[in-house]
Amino acid sequence: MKRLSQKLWPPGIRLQMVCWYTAVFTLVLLLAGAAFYHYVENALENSVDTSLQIQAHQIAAEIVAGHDTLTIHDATGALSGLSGSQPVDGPFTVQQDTFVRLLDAQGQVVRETPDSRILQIPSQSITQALQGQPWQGTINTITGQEVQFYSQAFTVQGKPLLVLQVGQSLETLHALLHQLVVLLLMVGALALLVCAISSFLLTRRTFTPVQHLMQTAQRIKAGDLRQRVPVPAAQDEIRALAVSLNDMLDALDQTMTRQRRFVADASHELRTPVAVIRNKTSIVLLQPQKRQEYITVLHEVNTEAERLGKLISDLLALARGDEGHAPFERESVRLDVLVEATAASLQPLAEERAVQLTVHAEQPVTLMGDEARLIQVVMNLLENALRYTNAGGQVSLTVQLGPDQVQVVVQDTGIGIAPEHLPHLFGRFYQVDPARNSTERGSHGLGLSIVAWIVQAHGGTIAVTSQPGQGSCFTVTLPLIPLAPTNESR
Amino acid sequence: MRILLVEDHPVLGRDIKQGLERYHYAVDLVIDGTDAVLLGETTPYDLIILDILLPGLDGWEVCRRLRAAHRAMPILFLTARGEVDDRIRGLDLGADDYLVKPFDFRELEARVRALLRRDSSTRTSTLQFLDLTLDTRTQEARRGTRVIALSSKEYALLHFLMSRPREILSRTTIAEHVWDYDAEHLSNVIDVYIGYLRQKLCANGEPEVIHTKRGAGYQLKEPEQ
Repeated sequence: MKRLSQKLWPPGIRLQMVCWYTAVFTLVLLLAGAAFYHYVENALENSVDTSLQIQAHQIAAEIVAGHDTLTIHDATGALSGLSGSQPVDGPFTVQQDTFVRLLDAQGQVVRETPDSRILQIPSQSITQALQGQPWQGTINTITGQEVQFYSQAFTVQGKPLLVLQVGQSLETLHALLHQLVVLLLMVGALALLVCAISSFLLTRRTFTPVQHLMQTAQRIKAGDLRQRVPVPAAQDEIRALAVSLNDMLDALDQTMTRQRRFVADASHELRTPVAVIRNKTSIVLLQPQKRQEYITVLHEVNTEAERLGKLISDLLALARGDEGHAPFERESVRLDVLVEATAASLQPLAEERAVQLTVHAEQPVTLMGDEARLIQVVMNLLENALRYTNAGGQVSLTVQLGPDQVQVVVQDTGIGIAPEHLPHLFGRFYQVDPARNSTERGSHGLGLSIVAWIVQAHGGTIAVTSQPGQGSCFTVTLPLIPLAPTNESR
Repeated sequence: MRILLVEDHPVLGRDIKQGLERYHYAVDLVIDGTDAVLLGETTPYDLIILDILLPGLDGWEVCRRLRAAHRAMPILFLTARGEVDDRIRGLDLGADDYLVKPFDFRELEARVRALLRRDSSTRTSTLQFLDLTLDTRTQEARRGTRVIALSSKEYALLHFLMSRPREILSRTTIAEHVWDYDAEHLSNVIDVYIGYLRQKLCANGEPEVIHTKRGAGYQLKEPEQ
C-alpha cells in the first residue's frame, strides 16, 4: 500500500494528464447536466400552469349561472362529482391528484373536491382573484406535498360572480425529474470512466517515443557514448528532442575522446622528465661520487625540472583557454617592435645553435591585441624554427603589412616536415616523428597548439608549408583592427 | 606588484580589481576564504586586501591562518565592520591596516602604496635608483630629467625591479609579482619585456642598469665599468 502511494505521489506526467482531462470533462458534464435539468424543470412546470388554466376555463364554461343557482354540465367529465342534481355543498370527485374549488363572491366555498380540505390555501389567492387578477403559485398540502394552484374570478356584467380554483399535485413531475437526475448521473459516470481510460491510453501512446528515447539514454549512461537514439521520421517535437540529444552526444563523445587522448598524452609527456630525473638520481646514488659528478647531475635535474615546469604551465594555459577562462588584453601593440625584441631575446639560442637569425620589419605596424600572448606566438615559432634547423642554417622573420591585415612569416632552412604530418601539426602533443625523443629538440608538442589557439583568439589564421630537407614556412595572418589613440606609447 | 583581493561582493570586487589594474598592479580576485588561504600560502603576494564577511572562512580566520603559516606580506582589512573592537581585533590578528566601507578608491590606492613601500628603505612615494626615479603617485618614470613613457606591463616590471634593487630576480619570481594568476604562465615573455625596458631606459645612450645573470635571472645594479 505504501509502495503504491509512493508510486502515485508525486504524480507522474501521465497520471497528471489523466487527472486533468478527467477533471475538465467532469466540469463540462456537470455544467451541461445542470443546464439540461433546469430547462426540463422549467418546461414541465410551465406545462402544468398552462394545463391548469385550460382546465379552469373548461370548468367555467360548464357552469351556467342563474339567479342564486348554478347549473353544471359535465361535458368534459372532469366534474363527474359535481352534477346539478347533487346538493351544492355535497362532495364531488374529480380526477386523481386534481383539486377543484368553487367559491362565491364573498369567498365562501360553494363546492369543492373532497381532497381540497388538505390544502393550505392562502387568502391572497381569493382576494387577488376577486380584484380581477388571476393568482397562481405553488402551495403545500398539510402532508407536505407540493401542489400547483390556479385561482380566477368569473364576472357577469362587471360583477364578480364566483371564484374558481384549480390545483394539480406536482408529485408526478417530481418523480420524473428524480428519474432524470439518476439517469444523468449514470450516463455522466460512464462517460467519465470512458474519458479516464481513453486519456490514460492516449497518453501512453503519446509517451511511447519518449520512453524509447529514455531507454536508449539509459543504455548510453552505462558508458557507451557511441550509441545514438533513434530519430523518428515525423517532423515533430519528439524528432527535435532526439536530434538535439544526438547532437549533445556527438559533442560529448568528441570532448571525451579529446580529453582522454589529452590526458594520456599529457601523462606520457609528464612521465618522461620524471623518468629522466629518477634515472639520473638513482644512478648517482648507487655509490659515492665526486663533487663534480653531483653538480653535473644536479644541473641535469634542474634542466628537466624546468622543462617539467614549462610543460605544466602550457597545459594550464591550454586548459584555461578551453574553459574560456583566459582573459585576453586588448591593447595597442607595435608588432614591428615586438618581433625585433623577441628575436633579440632569442639571439643567444640562435648563436648557440649556430643558426643565422634575421628580422625584416621595417614598416611600423600597430594592431589591437594581447601583447604578452603575441610575444609568445612569435617566440614559439622562432624557437621551433631554431630547434629544427641544423648548424649553419638560416631562420628569417618577416612582417608584411597588407591593407587590413598583417602577416608574420617565419621561414627556416631546417629539416622540414613531411606532407602527411602537416594537417595535424597544430594538434596537441602531435609529434612529427614518434620515434624521436622530444627531449632531443627540447620541445614537447604543445607549443604549436598554443600558437594556433592565441592566433585564433585574435581572429587570425595560421598556415604552414614545408619541403622535407629544405625547410618550413609558418605564416600567421592577423587582422588590423582600426586603432583608437591611446596614451601608451611604444 | 601583485595583490590578492578577497572580496565576495560581485560588483565591488570586480571594480576594485579593475581600479587597481589601472594603477598597473597585478590583481587576483577570489571570493572565498578557503581559496584565499590556499593562494596566500602558495603565491608570494606583495599585499592582501581582505574582506571580513566571506563564504568559507571569514577574513579574521584567513588572516590568522596566513600569519600562522609565517606569511609576512602586508594585509589590509577592507570591511563594513567599523567598530573599534573589530578594528582592534583585526590589527591584533596581524593585519597592517584597516579601511572601513564605504571608502574612497583613491584612499584605498594610497594605502596600498603606503603598505607596499613599508619594507623599502625609502618611505616616500618616489622610488629611486641612481639617476632612475619612479613616482608611484603619478606613475611617472624618469632617467635623469628625461621622462620615460611606459606601458602598463613595463611600469609594473620597473616598479618591481626598483623595489628590489641589487637583488637577483629569477624569471619565475618576476612573473609571480608582475603577472596575475591568468597570465603567470607567460613567464617566458619576460625576456622580451626586459628588452623593451632596457631600450627605453637607455634610449639616449645612458649606461645599462638591468643586468642579465645567465641561468639565474635579472638584477637592477650599477652599470659595469
